[in-house]
Amino acid sequence: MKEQAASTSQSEQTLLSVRDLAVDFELEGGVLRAVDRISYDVRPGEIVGIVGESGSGKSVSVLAVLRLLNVYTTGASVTGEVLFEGRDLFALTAKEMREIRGKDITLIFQDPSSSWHPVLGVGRQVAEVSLAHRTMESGRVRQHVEGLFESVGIPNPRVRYEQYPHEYSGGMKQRAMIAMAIANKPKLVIADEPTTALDVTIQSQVLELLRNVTADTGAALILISHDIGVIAEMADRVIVMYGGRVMEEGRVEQVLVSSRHPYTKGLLASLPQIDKTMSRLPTIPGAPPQMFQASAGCPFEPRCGLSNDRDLCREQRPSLRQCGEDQFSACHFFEEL
Amino acid sequence: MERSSYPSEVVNGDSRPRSSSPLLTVKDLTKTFPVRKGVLGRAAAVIQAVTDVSFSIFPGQTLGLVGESGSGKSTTALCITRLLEVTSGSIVFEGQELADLSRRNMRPIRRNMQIVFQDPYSSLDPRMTVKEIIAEPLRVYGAYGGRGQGERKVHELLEKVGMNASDAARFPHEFSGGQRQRISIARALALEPRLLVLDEPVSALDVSVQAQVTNLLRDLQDAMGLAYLFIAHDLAVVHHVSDWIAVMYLGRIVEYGSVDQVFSEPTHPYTQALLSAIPNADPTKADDLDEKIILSGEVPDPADPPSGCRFRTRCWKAEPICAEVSPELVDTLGIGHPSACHFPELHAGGVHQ
Repeated sequence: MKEQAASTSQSEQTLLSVRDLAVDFELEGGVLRAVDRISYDVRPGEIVGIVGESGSGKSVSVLAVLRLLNVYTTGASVTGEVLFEGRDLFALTAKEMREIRGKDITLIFQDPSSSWHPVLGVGRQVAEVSLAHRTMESGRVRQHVEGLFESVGIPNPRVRYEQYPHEYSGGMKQRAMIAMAIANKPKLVIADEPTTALDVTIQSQVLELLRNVTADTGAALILISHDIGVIAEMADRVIVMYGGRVMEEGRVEQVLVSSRHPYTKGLLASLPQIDKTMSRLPTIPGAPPQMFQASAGCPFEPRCGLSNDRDLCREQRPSLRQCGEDQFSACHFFEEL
Repeated sequence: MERSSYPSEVVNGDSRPRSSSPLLTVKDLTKTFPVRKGVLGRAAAVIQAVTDVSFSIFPGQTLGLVGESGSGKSTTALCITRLLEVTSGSIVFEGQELADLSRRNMRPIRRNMQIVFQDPYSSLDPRMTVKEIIAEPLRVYGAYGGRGQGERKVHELLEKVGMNASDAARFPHEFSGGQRQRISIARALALEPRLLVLDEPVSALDVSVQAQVTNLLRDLQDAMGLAYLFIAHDLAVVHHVSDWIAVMYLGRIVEYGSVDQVFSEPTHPYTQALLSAIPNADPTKADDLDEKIILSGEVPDPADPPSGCRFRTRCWKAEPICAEVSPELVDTLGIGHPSACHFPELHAGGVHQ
């Protein structure tokens, strides 16, 4: 009984709780562990950034949360627990999951050119999410979508409703995608590299829009990006991923200013700055790992300047330990930083 | 320290030593593409991809060409290397006019001017070993020599780019993106060129690997006196590697100067907006979001560019004259570098949108 009470009070302040999530892909060359037992929480209304390089597991981890990794086509096996408003998503039926997806939790993909059906009008595709979840009757849905277009800054909603994706620019397609994502007043929006395919001046428009619509609707946002700058400007908290694991987590002002993990520190140092002139950039040697054999110790160890070949780094998996107020580091030796 | 070539305005205020004559001088380069329609393929419209672009590159120095997609920066690179025919204008490389050179006469020039492409996954032949890839330009130009000599050259090139001689027998798929880009660079260096055209050379790489490749490019430049035309959309990377910067918008250069001039005293509203749009990784330094210049609208269709100043449709300072007269690239403010704006200012000024 006691335990139950504790978990209820936790779910009140936690919208999404991910525990020990792991994703394995069975491939010809062996089993690839893409996500290696990660845990994190998202609170209502907050913006959580997930930053990492390609192959760090950031996209796969959210696809797993939404149960969008098809076991039959990808050979993925997912373990762990995901609680959304206290409900165990992995225990739901496919039908129950469909009711959450697109309504309470929505997804914005990276590539605006491939995520639209090419021969259906954009307006109709946005309308579909409201019709599918019966949040809007069919007679009023067009008006609803035109209103959404207006709120995401798509000029001429009437004309735009009828147009096809190829008649939209990249930035406009991403605006329409955001309209679709907020159509059913979701509690959580997951945006996977939403501006990576866009030019920098269009990127700032779309980021501003994302910030405004989530603030207006009160939705929480998980923002996945490889661009630390985007995370720094948008997120309240940041999760730094590497080799399928969480390396560091905490408030953006702490993690990105006084990081307590050698990977985050190295990554930040290697970024060229426009207000600083340096003849050479500090680098992280080597390349991100291929994760066919999940490392027993720390996946960053082979590239780490702090490890100094210590056995602990090679042999024992570092757990996320508190290293500051609302800051956690998965480094055995963060005290030395 | 005298420099006679265009644009002379840029000389002031820059203390970097340079040799007296440019390696490459591009003047009024224009490239148009016809848009064909219908079964007869009649030219229905003309896309002005590059319009009246002029700049110089000096030995041992880097010119960064920045702009968003559709700004004409890659087209400029392809024209200079004559991988595209030039519509009009002049390209003088080592004292020789290239714009109207025949393919055959262009061949010996290519030795001295090599290109590195963005995507190291598609720019290396997957069925060739690293040795064959790097040896190919040497063989084409009869510089491979005997077997022992040729192999030694390949090994030296691999070591120059920070790889091992033993990598020569392996295939591209065995390498990571960063290492593949090193192989592309080794191939480009094989003929000891004087100018490397680098078209987004680090954009496809992971952040932690980008710094390795940028450092390598810098080291090679110092060691070999190479000149670079460095094309990128990432302003921070361009700032790090370049001596000079040309900012392009819809086919035209809108601002041109030394890195310090353009980044610390931008006077063109587009440059100002572009700089303001870069997300800062340091949350304590991230500009107050209210101060960010967020441009309205999008880049217009290059087949139908706005009259006058091409940026005016997104500019918060636009006046009637901007629709009538195309602003010239001149140093109106007398601060040492030119910008193509009727109302240049040191600060963004006016009301932002």
